[in-house]
Amino acid sequence: MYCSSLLNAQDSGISFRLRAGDTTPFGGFTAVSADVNHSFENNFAVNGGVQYNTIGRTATEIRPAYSFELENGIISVTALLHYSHQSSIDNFAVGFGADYSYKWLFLTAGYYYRIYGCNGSYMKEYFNLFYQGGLKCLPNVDEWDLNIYITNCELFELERHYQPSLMVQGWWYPNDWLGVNLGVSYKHTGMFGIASDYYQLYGSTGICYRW
Amino acid sequence: MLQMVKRLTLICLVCLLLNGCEKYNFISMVIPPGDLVNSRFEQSMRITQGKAVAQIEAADEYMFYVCTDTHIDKTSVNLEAFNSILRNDYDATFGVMLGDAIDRRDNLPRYLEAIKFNPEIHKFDYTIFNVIGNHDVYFNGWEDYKSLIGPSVYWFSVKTPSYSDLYITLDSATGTLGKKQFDWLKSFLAENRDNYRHCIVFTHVNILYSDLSQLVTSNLPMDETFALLEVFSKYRVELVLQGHDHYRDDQMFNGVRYTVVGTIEDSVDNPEYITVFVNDDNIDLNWHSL
Repeated sequence: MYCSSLLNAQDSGISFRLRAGDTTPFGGFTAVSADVNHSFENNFAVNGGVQYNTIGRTATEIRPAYSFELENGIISVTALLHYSHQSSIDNFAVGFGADYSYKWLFLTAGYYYRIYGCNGSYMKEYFNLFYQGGLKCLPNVDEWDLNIYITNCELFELERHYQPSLMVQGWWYPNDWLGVNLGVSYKHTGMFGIASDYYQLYGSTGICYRW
Repeated sequence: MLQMVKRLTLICLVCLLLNGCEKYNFISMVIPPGDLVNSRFEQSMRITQGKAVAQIEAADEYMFYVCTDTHIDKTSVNLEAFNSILRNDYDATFGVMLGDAIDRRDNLPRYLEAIKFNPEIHKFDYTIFNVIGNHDVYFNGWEDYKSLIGPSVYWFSVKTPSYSDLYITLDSATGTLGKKQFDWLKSFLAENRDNYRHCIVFTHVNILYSDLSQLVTSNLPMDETFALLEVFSKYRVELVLQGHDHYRDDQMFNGVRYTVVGTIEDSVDNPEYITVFVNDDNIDLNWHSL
């Protein structure tokens, strides 16, 4: 589960990922990231790491979570702390939310507050929402994960609520301690009333060591 | 559960109805309604050849009028009133409309009729510059816009006895400037900014998300927002005028003033427009109720 990068992680592990694609307004880009998830015995888990993107963005994020096992699924209460630096701007966000996961389905919803600044100027965004929702296409297969979902809160890339990405992520687990990932992400503008346009497309690959 | 299904069905029917009568293009939230912004930019550059579309003569201190989001449908009362005030003001230099001229396709001729110069009731034939908005491109509206109004990306200057001021109009109608327009903006400002006293940018979609009124209006993605904020500050753009939100907002960020003008649409209770006074030291804004 952890290697799928869903917020309600139940396992521990470390992931290294590489992304390459095209984005407006920067053109071609690559990004490398490393993130660690650690699950404690008392239902607490924490996921966090760093990413460098060649568009000039460095980001770090940490997401602690506390999980409850329900009769039908798992629910987690999650916090979110994000910092990134891009285009001379320091960008902070703090939020909280909840995740729900059951068989084919996973959902995340929460609120975050953003403040960003540069040279003594700053802007506050008091009301932002983060969300993620999708389908686990292979819920009963141990060696494979295939998830199709929309999200505006991918790790290290916290978008405003009107700007989701469409994601397809697949994982192969050849043994208990290794996971291999391939994925694709597409982002277009235009949700919530604007006419749409192409914005970003990238492919990603990664490995995950689990313990 | 049944109640929820009924509500969702009703929402879908309303969306289809609005889509069918070409008022709101919900399908365009997923499928682009026509040419993408890169293509609109290229077509605009072909029309203008990258040159100024106008050079307006003015005194060193001058003023111009700005309104936005007219959303012309069946009536154009407020726009005609704005047009009359502008065209009878001796002190004015030009006018600007910041986008969403129309509320549904085929209304552009009605919009143009409402802003035209009528020598019987108007004294001054000022130019009104247009910015393209998201409603203007619904249902492939770009084809009408291009043929009846012209380019969506262009620049013009105001020549005073002592100075020149630079005005740039950007196309953000589909929620992004696109790579070609963004690259053009950076290189254009790098080459030309120092030749001008003031620099003012017009765009429809909001750069900053500063209050709850923008909760349901879509703007630019975050990394493009940050990149634009940096470009505007680096090249000393002094004022960025925007529409789209329908509610007034006025913020300073890193030396640049970002102002959203409230709508002048007929259906609202408090339609407004602004006048912008430009002099040697300052650019001052005055809000007016209609």
